[in-house]
Amino acid sequence: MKKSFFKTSLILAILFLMMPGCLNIWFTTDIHPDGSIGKTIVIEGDSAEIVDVHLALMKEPGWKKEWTKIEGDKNNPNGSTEDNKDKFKLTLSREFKSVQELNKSMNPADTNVFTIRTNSTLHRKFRWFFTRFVYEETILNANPFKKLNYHDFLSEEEVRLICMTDEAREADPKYDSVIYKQTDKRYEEYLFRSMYEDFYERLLPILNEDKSLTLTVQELDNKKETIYHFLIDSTKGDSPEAILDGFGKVLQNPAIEVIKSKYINRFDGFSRKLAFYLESSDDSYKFNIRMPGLLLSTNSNKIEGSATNWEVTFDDFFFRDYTMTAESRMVNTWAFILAGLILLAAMAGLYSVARRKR
Amino acid sequence: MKNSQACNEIDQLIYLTDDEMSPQEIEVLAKHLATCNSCLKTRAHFLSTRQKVVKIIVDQVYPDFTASMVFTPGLTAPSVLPKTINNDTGWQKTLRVASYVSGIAAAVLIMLFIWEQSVSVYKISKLETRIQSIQSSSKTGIIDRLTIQAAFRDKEWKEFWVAQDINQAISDPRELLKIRSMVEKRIRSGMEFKTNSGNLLSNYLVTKKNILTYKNFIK
Repeated sequence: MKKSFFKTSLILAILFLMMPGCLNIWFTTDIHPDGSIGKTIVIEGDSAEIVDVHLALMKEPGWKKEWTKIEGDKNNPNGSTEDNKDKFKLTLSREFKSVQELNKSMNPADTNVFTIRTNSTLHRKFRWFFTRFVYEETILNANPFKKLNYHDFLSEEEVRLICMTDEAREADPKYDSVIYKQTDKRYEEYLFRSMYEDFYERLLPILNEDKSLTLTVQELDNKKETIYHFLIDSTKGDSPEAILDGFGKVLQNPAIEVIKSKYINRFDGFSRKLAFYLESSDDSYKFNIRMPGLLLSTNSNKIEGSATNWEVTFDDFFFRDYTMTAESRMVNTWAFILAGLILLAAMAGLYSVARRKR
Repeated sequence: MKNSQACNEIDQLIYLTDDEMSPQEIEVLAKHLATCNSCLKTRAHFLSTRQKVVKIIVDQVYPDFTASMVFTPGLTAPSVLPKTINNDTGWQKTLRVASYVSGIAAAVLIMLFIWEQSVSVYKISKLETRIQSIQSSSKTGIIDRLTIQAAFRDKEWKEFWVAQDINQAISDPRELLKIRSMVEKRIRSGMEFKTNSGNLLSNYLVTKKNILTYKNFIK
């Protein structure tokens, strides 16, 4: 579930964000026998949202891009506005020579880029008759606000409860709606406090640097908790200006206006983090890994032939990394032929030795 | 190559045992035998014949005596004879070594294949226990099909017996095997059987059109 920073703006934010509809993103990985990898990413939804999707590779050259228009069902009177609307599909595809090359694209070195990051490993193990392929793809922790430790708010069991889909939760015999609501509330608190801490820590250096400001760090610290509660209950909007307005209302200090006019760009990082969280948390993610040969093992719950599928929500990789694994094997036909020849030679040799002994 | 002059010199020694020769004579004979295949063969033949003759005589004259009591060191094979008579040519030696090497290689490969297959079968059956869907094998080759078959075969049959609840009905294992072989025949001829989890019995091997329940099968 998407969480906005401030309760008062929560409904507006949800309405605003839900109207265009969330994106469906499919990541398909094709492992080739020679160790090269094919990656296809399909993004479906509103065209404007597709363009703004938080994937660093969108700006990267080398990806083949293909736009497709999906006509909405305008003749269906019973269909929702979403159903009737035209949608777009962007297909990005690229071939990588190695897993290292893939990682460069899927996990850019610049840590200031907020994107869904994946890191992969591929091991090819030669076992004479067979070659085993072990592929592991990890969606890296996507929580942009890590100032606080979630363990201080939630237990592992509660994290598991939050990460479950609504269907899985309902099907769980241990499910208790009251406990879930309490857990969800603590999750929100963790999220809001982490966001607040991120914003707050950007404010402190400004106060330390600019001695002309009439606000001291000590004065700010004294009101830290009061400001947090004021922002949660009363402030409208998620922009740095709106948040600073909330600070100003509590502190009643002209320094806040000076910060707004002189130092607002110091909060760009916060805005980017918030935008990444709000825009990515409602998207639906599907991962599909196609292995060469016969599938031997996987941690997925859906298999079609040698392809394995995972349906993940943002929560699945919000708290920690999410790892998908698949192992397959390919038959080395040449090894069977060679082994057959060796066996024949051995039989012929043993026969001649036996004959000579007689 | 045979050295006729040396052979003539050594000729008398060939037909003597160790205790009939001085240490110097033993040394001379040993040196010659190491280089002369012909004399080596002659000596081996002499010693073998001599031993056989002695054994026959001893068996007849001293039937109650054990071999160790009768065969004095002088009568047993003397030390002046290499353990094996190697009259192989170069390429024969190579062939023999190659046959041993290929025999060992073949044994190692067979063991490797069995090990790899066992690992694969174990992993696939573990996967199948967790995920209730049998893999499609339409694109796989014979080796892969055999692996899948090995991984699912017993599990499916176990499920089938439970599904049809005939474990209790038929207690005789031979009877169960008989039914199993009949069902297998029918599957090969195109019939379908469902397991407890709704999978088609051996549907990864054969595509069938009809679904038959146990009752129909019994009829």
